[in-house]
Order: sequence, then structure tokens, then C-alpha cells
Amino acid sequence: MMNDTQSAFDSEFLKKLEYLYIVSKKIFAGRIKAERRSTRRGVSVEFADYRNYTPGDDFRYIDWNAFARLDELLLKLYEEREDLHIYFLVDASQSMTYGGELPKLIYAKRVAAALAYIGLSNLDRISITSFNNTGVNRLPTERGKGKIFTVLDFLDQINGTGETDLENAFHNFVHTTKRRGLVVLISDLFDPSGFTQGLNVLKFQKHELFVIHIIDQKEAAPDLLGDYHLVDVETDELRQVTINENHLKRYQALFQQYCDDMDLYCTQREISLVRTTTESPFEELILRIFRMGGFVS
Amino acid sequence: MNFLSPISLFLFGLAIPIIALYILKLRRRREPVSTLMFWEELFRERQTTSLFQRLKHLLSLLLQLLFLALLVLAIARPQFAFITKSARQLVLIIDQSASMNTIEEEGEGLTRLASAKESALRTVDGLRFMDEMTVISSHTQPVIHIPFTNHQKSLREAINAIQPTDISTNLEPAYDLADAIAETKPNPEIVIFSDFQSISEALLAKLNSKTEADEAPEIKRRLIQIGEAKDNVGITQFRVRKSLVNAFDYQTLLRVVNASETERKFNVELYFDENLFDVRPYNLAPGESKSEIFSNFAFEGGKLKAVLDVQDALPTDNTAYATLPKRDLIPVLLVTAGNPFLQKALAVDEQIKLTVLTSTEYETDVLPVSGNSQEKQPYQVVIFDRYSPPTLGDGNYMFIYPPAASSETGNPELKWNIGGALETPIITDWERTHPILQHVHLENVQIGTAYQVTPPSTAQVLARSFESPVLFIDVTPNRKIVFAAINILESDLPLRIAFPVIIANTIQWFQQRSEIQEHHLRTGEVLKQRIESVDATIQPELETETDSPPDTPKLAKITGPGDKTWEIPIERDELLFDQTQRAGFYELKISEAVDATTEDAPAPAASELTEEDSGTVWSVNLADETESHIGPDPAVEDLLEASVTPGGTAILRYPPWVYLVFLAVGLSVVEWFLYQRRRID
Repeated sequence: MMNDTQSAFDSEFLKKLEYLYIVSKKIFAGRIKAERRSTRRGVSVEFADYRNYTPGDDFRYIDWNAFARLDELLLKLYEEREDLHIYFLVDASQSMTYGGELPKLIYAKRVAAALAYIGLSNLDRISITSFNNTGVNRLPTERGKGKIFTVLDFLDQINGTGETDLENAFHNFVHTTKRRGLVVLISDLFDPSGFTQGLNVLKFQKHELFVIHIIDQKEAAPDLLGDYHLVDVETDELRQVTINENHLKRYQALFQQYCDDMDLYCTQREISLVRTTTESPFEELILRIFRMGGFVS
Repeated sequence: MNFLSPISLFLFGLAIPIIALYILKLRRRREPVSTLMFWEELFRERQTTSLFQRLKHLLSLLLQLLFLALLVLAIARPQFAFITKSARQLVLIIDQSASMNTIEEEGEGLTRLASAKESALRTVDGLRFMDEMTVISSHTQPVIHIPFTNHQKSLREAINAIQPTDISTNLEPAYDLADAIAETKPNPEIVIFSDFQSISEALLAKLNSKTEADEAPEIKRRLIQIGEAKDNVGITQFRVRKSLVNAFDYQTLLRVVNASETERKFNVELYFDENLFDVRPYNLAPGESKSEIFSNFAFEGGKLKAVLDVQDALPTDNTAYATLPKRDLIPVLLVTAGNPFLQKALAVDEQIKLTVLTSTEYETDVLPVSGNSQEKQPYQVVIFDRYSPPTLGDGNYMFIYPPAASSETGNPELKWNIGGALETPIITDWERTHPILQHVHLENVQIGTAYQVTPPSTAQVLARSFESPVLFIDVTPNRKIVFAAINILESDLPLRIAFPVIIANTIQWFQQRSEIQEHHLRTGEVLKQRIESVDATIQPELETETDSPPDTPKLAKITGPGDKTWEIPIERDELLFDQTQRAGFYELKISEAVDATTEDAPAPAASELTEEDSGTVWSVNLADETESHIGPDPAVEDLLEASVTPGGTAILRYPPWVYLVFLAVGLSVVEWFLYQRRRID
């Protein structure tokens, strides 16, 4: 695993990060750096709305002109400007270690690192959380481009162990996270109990959700024919099967159905979803994410 | 059901390891996957019919056990009683007579024999397992080409080896042979492939007869007619014989028949040594035949051929062959002390090769050879003029006024008695119709000296005087004698026309009884040739001049139609040659054979010809009017099955073990397919 980690962030990778940052600047040209309109109302120079005065409000925000015309105490509300919190949730279950030359976990680390680097460069606040059924491991919120190495160190230390339990993991996350923000979930979403419960937890906490679904090509279209003992890498559960062509076709249909259900779920709940295989270069995935516009809006 | 190899059934024990291997769990490969949830769902769907799954699992074992069972049964070679009982023993008779050369389909040139062979081959194709077949070809004599066998390749080769012949049809011997063979078999069947253009009443009766003996198997008979009625004309006779009126001439008989339904006009072309010398137009009504005799040939010693210039279905009888013998000079020996009249009379005849010897020379040179009756006479006629030899061999002799003393020497071969002299006898009576005295008048012949003679009891007096016979002949099986009791030098007979006529008639009479050696055969007849006669006929001088030892082995080389040759070593004094199936000329040459193994030549050739002679040519003809009528005999129509061709597909053509092996192979293919498709585990 150490080898995998080291290979995840080599010098070549760091060059690609800088490249992605420059490209992202072009994509986000005209937008204000490090600024993001918050839905929260607060103190700023930009008027947002009125509301009735209630006892205890600060008198300084009463619009006396309106009082003169309408004879009502109305408070002027201004949009509050705040830094964006981006939470990266990286699946660290054993299933993420599956894959040939490039396991899904390595791929997920690279994607998280790239997006975090761009976020740090935009002066966003970045937090990274790895999770499995045993719990979560969290990197506190970091801000500024110089924290990238802290992020990389944290990512390096993530190992794929345990099973996938999205619901419990996300409950732990939301209970320890007070500020809402953009939650970037990087996972294969192979939860035996389903992915919806976990995503619902995040969605109910009004986090803006962005899902990066990483799969291995052999998971989408296995080339197994014959007699096998299939071993679940998370549970070590054995399944004795004899696989023929029809089985493979049926498997692919089931897997496609799973993906389609996921797409439908995300669409209905306005969740951005990107699906990729580990064979696809991660930088292409990053650019695709930017072009989708759902990651930074 | 029985097994030829029941011990092989122990191989069923191989089922034990198969079952054992089947019971042993399959060693499966371990394959890690990121999640089992899709596989679980997949096989949860598939396992809804678990009973079927177990059956599929069991089906694999059953297929393998069935495969083993089929192979073991095949090795044990099962025999079924119903197959054995239904096995047939077929006797195929294929007519290969001349009429089977009829061309049925002119475009393809397919003869009836070829069609018959094709039908016979289809019958072979239709043979079932355990069926046996024998093949007999027939013209006048049957030939068994292959004994009973079920080996189809051998049967096909035997049928294909049947060659066309120009021999007349006689199916009866073949049928009798087939019947005798079939009687010994349990389920016999006789199939005759023929055009049935000629069938004897005896054979018809046999074909109509039923098996009377209850215990004898019933012989099924099938008559397969090949071909149909067609127009044909043919030569039915072409033969040379010696002329009845002229001993030195030949006559040739030509007979042509029109066996068509319509009138036919055509020419007959006559060839001598392949050179056309005559063309005769013929116009024959349906069924008409015409005979013609040719004589006074200007040539001799060659091959005659008659060809019908006509296109018909049977070309075989459109050509006939004959040999025209060479007119050899007649060697005549005159033993005389001097008789110019006699010498002149003999010398004037071109057919005579005259040798004149004195009695002393005769006794010195010729008598040691000719006096021995075992030796062949070098002269065909010997004339003793006023001389009587001490011994007399076989042959033709003319005695003219032999001395009376000859009777006193006690030569028992001279059976006449010479009495006293007669002065000027007068010939009073003579046999005017006898060949010797034809066209002769002996009236007023002046005879100076004669004597009385008492001829032997077997003699025939041709001329007599008042006192005694003047001229008589004595013919015995080995000897012909003409005796004249007058001294012609003391008569005016040599001055009369009658004298050379009598001499010529006498020579001719000597030759007339000696038949020409006919070198003519009908197809299928055995050529018989005495080797001595061949030598004497061909090269008589070699008899005395050859330096080879008498026991030198000889070789007969026969060249037949189509330049087909046979070399036959001669071990006896007679050559027998029976390969005269085709019409045409057969040239026989006798030569001395040298065993090549005694020579320095490394090649172990059997023999080679050392010297070739001029050879004897035999002509072989079909010469059968019945064979020229190529339509089917109406008498056989009731027996014919309307063009039923036997054979075709046959169930159980192969032994059961073959089908079992095929089943096993098919089963293995099915098992492989099911396994590959994971229909079975």
C-alpha cells in the first residue's frame, strides 16, 4: 500500500496538479476568486432582502426610510460573504483497493488531491475525510495553497480496509461537521445495503453533494468464464459459481441497472454525479468535472 | 443379442473412476471481486429452480456414463438375431455377351454392359450388414469373379473388372451355377443383369419353377433387364473354305442379316490386308438375311475383313474377319529313270514344285526319312515311274507300271499282285465321273505294254481292259495310292490331251481330301494348335536346318485385337488358348524362348523371343445370328420386373458397433456443447 501511495503523488502528479490549476483558471475566467455567495444573510455591502423587525434585532440595520414611508420597522438584510467549505469524503473500504495496475483507491486519492489543490488555490477551505465501516478519519479544514502538502500527506495515509457502510460513515461525518458546504464523495458506492441511505444523510443536512463514482472496468464487464470461487475482498465471503456467457451478459445488465438507478436518484435530487473507470486518466476526469460546472458554481 | 467379444463388457468397470472423479469436487480458481452483490443477485435469479440445477448436475454424469456404455458395447461387438436372420446371400449374374455391347445412349456411348455394371454397383451400395454377395459373369460359360463376401470394395473391383466380350449369350450355365451356389445358403437371391435377347426354353422353365423341397430355402430371383429393342444389322457368317470345284481356289461365305424393324440399305466393304477391294450394296427387308459366296481371289495369304458401312446400336457384328490361306506349291517327287513325257506334264503345272530323282538317289536320300511312317512326308505326292520302293511311308503315291519284282520282295505294304504281261490291251471302261478321269477320253488309246494286276480289296478300279484293271486307286487312312498298270512310254497316251489332264487331276485328287487348315473360330472357342504343324506349315525347312537342340523351350506369342498380347510357354505339343473373347485377328508366333536368368542381363525378365517366324493368323468372329437380334426375348417379359433397380439406401449397412461409435461421438459433441454453454456443470 505504501508503494501505491508513493506512486499516487509522484513528481509527475504534482506537475499535473499545476497544469490542472492553470486550466481551471481559464475555465473559471471572470469569476471572483475565493469568493462565494453564501445563502446565509449577514453583514456585507450587498443588499439582499427586508424582513420585519423582531425584538432583539440590531437597530443599526433598521431601514429608517422605509419606516418613514410605511410606518413599519423593517430590517435591511445583506448577503453574508463567507469562504466555501469543501469536504472530500474518500471511500477507504477494502473494495477500493480492487483493481489491476491502478486500484480505485489510488485513483480516488489523485482525484481528491487534484480537486483539493484547485480548491486551496481558490482560497476555499478544504477538509478531507476517509471512511469505512469502522469509522471516519478526518483532516481538519485547511486553507491556502501552501496546505497542499498537508493534504497530500493525509491522503497518503489512507489505507483501504474494512467494509463499506455509507450511512453510518456519513452520519459520523455530519455529526462532526457544523458548517454546510460542498461535499465531494469519491467512492465506488458498493454498499450492500444500498447507496441511497448514505446519500440521503448528506442531502438532508443540506450539503451540496457532488458524487464521483469510480469503478474498475473488470467490475463493469468481468471476463470470467468457468468455475470460480469468488471472494469478496471486504468480507472474505466465498461464492462458488460456474459462469457462462449468459451469466456475464446478465451481470453486465445488472451492473448497468445499478448505475442507471444511481443516475436517476442523483438527477431527481439535483446531485451532480460523475462516473469514471480507473482506465480513464484522472486529469481528464478533473477537466470533465470543471466543464460540467457542478463542482464550482 | 449376443456379443462377439463379451469379455469387453468388463470395461464397464471404467464407470467407477468416472463416478469417483465426478464425486470429487471441482477445484475452482479463487477470484477476488470488489463486491459480491451483483453475483449474489445474479445467481439468486438462477437458483430459483434448484431442482433443475441438481438435474443438470446429474445429467453431466449420465451423459458420461452413457458415452462409456456406448463405447463398451461397441467394443463388445453386439450381434442381433434379427440382423443375422435377415442377411441375404446375393448371387449377381452379369451378362457380358456380345449383345451387351449395344450402345444404349449414343451421346454418352454407354453400353448395356456399362449400365449393367452400374446397376450391380448400386446393388453393392445397397448391401446391408451381414449380406453377402458373389459376382458371376456369363457369356457361354460362367466365371465367378469373387466368392461370397461382404467386402464392398472387393465387390466393386470385381464388378468393374468385368470386360466386354464378343461371345454369344447362354445364361443357362451361369444360372445353374448360381442356383447350385444359392441352394447352400439360408436366404439366397439371384439377380440377373442382362438384355435377355436370347433365353433358352430350359432356362425359362427353371426361372418359372418354384423350390419344391420344403426344407430347401426359397431362392428369390430378380431379372433386371438392361436396354430395349433397337435396330441392328450384322454379319452372321464370314468364312473361307476350299473351293469345291477347284482344289487350288478358295471360297468365302458372307451372310448378313437385318434384325431391324425397318428396311435397311447399306454397303458391305471387303478389305484384304486393310486394303479395300470390293463394295457390295445390300438392301434387306426387316428380318431378311442374305448370303453370298466370293471366290477366284486374285490374292492369297492374308487377312480378309468385311465391314458393314452402317450406323447401328451394336457395332460388334458389323465387322467380320477371315484368313485367306496362302496357296503353297505342292512338292511332288518323281522317281524315274527318265520319262520326259511325265516330267513335262508335271512341270507345266504352276502349282507343282517338282523334284526328279533316280531310284538310287531316292533310296539314298529320301527313303530313310519318308520310309518311316512316324516321320512327316516332305513331299505331298511321290510318283514312282517303273519303280517300286522297298518300303513305303504314309502319303500320296502314284505307281506307274512298277516292276513285278516288287511284289516278290515281300513288301507287305504293297498289296497288289502283278501278273503276266498283256499285249495291246484296250481300255474298255473307265469311271468318267471320278475326279481323276474327269474331262478325259480313253477311247482308242494305244497301249503297247501292260500287265495284269490284282488290286487290293480296298481298291477302286477306275479303268479296265478286258483282261485286267488298268488304273485303280487304293485309299487307306494314311495313304492314297494311284496305280497305273501300263507302260506309258510304250503307248500313245502321253501324246493325247488326256495325259496332262489325268496327271493334273491326280495331283488335284491327292490334294482334294486334304482339308485346308482352317484358322477360324467363333468367339469364346478354344484355339488349338499343334506345335509340329505350326512349324511344318510356317517354315518346313527349319525342321531340317535348325541347329537348336530338340528340347529347347518354345514360346507362343499371340497378338489379338487391339494389339493385346499374350506370351504362353509351350510345354506340350499342343497349344491351347482360350482368351478369344473379342472378335478379330489373333496372330500366333512360335519362337524359342531363352531364360533371361541365364544371360548376363541383370533384369530378371521371364523370357524373350529369340527369333520370330511369319506366324499364323486366326480369325475369330461372333457369327451368331441370334446375337444380332438385340431386342429382348418376348418370352421373358413376364419374368421381368419393370426396370426395378435394386440397391439404393440400406438400413443397417454397417455393423452395429459402427452406429454405437457414431452415437458415442455424437454424444460427446452434445456433452461438449452443453458444457461449453454451461447447460450442464
